[in-house]
Amino acid sequence: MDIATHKGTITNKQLLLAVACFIFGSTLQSSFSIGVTKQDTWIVVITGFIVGAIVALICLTLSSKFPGKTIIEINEIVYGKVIGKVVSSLYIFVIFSSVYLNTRDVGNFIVRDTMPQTPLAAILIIFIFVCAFAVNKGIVAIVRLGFLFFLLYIIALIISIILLLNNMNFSYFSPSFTLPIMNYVQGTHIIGLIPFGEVYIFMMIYPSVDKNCKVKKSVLSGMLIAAIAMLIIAIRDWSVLGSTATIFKLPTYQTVSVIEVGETLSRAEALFSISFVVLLFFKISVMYYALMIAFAQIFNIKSYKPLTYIVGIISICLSILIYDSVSENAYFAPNIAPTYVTFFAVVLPILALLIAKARGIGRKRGCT
Amino acid sequence: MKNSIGKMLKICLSLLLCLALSGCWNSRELDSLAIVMGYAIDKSDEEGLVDMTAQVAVLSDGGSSDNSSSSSNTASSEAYWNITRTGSSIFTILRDYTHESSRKLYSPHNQVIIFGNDLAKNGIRDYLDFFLRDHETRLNVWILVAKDKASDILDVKPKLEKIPAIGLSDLIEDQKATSETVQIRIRDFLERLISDTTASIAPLVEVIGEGKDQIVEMSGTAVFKQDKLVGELNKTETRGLLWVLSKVNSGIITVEAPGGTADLEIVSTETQVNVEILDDGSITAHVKITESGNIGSQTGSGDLSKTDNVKILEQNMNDAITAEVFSAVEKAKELDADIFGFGDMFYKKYPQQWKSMKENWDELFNEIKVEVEVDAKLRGSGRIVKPAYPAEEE
Repeated sequence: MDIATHKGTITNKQLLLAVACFIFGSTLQSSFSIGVTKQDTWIVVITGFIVGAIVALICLTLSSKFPGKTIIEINEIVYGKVIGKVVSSLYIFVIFSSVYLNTRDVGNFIVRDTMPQTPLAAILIIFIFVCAFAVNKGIVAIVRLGFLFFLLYIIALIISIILLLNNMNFSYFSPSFTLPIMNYVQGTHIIGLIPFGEVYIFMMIYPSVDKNCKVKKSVLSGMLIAAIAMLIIAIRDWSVLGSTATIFKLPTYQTVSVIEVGETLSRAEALFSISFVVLLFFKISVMYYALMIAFAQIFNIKSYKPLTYIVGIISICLSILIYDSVSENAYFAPNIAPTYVTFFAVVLPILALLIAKARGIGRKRGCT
Repeated sequence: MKNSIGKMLKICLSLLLCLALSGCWNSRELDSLAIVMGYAIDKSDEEGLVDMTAQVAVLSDGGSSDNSSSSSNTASSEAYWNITRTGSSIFTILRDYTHESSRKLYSPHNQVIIFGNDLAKNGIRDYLDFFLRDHETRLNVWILVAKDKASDILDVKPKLEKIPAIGLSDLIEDQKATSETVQIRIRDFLERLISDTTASIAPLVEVIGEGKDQIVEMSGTAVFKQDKLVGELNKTETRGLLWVLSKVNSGIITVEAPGGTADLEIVSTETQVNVEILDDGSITAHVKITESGNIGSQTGSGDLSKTDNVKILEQNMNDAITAEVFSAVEKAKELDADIFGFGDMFYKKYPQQWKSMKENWDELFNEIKVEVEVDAKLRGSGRIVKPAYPAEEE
């Protein structure tokens, strides 16, 4: 299998589910904005989706100008060999940091909420090696899991809603639209760019899709499904926890811990945390795969496989070293990370589009 | 051949992974745990310190079911063990227990947290923090306030259960039948604690009787201003509060009936509260209660199946419920504590005006005019239609 081109291996339906699962993987992190937007979090989920869809459209337009090319290859075509490699290495940097930041989130979640005495490294090593194994099997294998994970996630969501119906109080949502306008802007920025904007990483994967023309539709419908699920989760969490949601680190996790049916069914959050971790595995595997393809293309290597485990070990080290404390993590995620993503998912693609237009390269319009 | 050996090896390896499912560093076996059923927190005699009592369930060795039948271990071995230590904070005391207990305390099955009266008067926020923060504690534990010392409550052996804390948590569940006690989980307490104006509430418990006849009784509601205990509601006032909160589940109201009295059982209720700022700047809260009930029992000879008599009963019921609500409102104004959450309702309905109202809410709350509208309906009269009197000639 030729890694560099990798054409015609994923169907559009698989891409749709992969995009949805990729965003589901951020559910735990969607709480970033709850402290900022409080009872109006559901509003910024909607506006965030719109912003995210625009971001995805920009990336998709760029990709469709150069069918069959990843962003790394596009960079080389647009900027020329030398500057192209420089820009590409910036992309490697940001995808790499996405991989190890998300890995750290998994580690934090498991250590904090279920196994407090287990060293972070023990969990990260096991986790990254499973991801590396999946990445070596290729994107087709990863994406095939999408359907399974999608079902798992939707079923867990529906069950949690049914079991929580009793605890929901919709009066928590009023008054709406009363926060300072900047809170909505920041909330939209966070939601729009962290779960939705990260879809720009799929620019590494579009070339593997079977019918390249329908990519736009698949990606957007995948994002729409994920947005609906996130909206439901935002409403569920706030209607159960109310203003207390603002003091919890992971409101989504606290919400499912509220579930109590009679005396028999309680303490079920461990079951739900499985779905969080599994979805994060999917998200990280996709990012990890994108990273490996980027490495292979920038260094002109035939196969990325020998590098996978090395990159995995480096990301374990980085994810342990990256934060000294929880508060650094809590500050970085909502305040700095969205700005990073803005640069790579909005500014650079637009720049590339403009240069391509000025130089008159790339396909003019649509698919054939 | 070589291939199939490789396959077998892979299968064995993946089966071995199951061993890791219990976790490695944090695996804890049942026989190494001291399962805590309840905590009681009191102010210590020494300034600035607290006494915390943990009630640990003592698990019998030979299984739980045959414990009662074997007469050999009766009085000597209790089903629980209370440990009390003194310290500056909950977490330090919790670790301090290891000096006495051979097993580390395990909190996820904790049922109740009881605060002593003296401690509650000085504020309990600092002591709740640990229970909210720790990963082992649960958010559905019951919060109680003792009328006197909290540790006394955990010393009273219940008549029906083996462990006081479990007896207490069952007791709280039972309170639905009368709706004369609030049921507050740590989650509910937290919600009121982080509200700007709404006062926290918690059920009160006290020990009644002497020596062997001691029992624990639920006796009304403790009212907090922020996190400091400021007063209490009696049982009638508590139900008045619950009417407004729409939390009345059941209960008995005795009213006058033609020819005697009637005990009416509350079957279902619904309350809608509508707050308003009138043109002249005064504020009102309109409480609309819809209730339906049954005749549970009656005294005297009145025929309560007649429409006229039912009307009278319903009217009396309306008056009784209104009186309960007003008793709660008066007490709340006396304590200066917004236990009903009217402040939050104004914030929800008038977010703009609320900004200025928030500053002097204490005064505004005293001026709020509460209107009560009750629509009580009698739905049933039980198995008989008339009391057991000889038939009258008409």
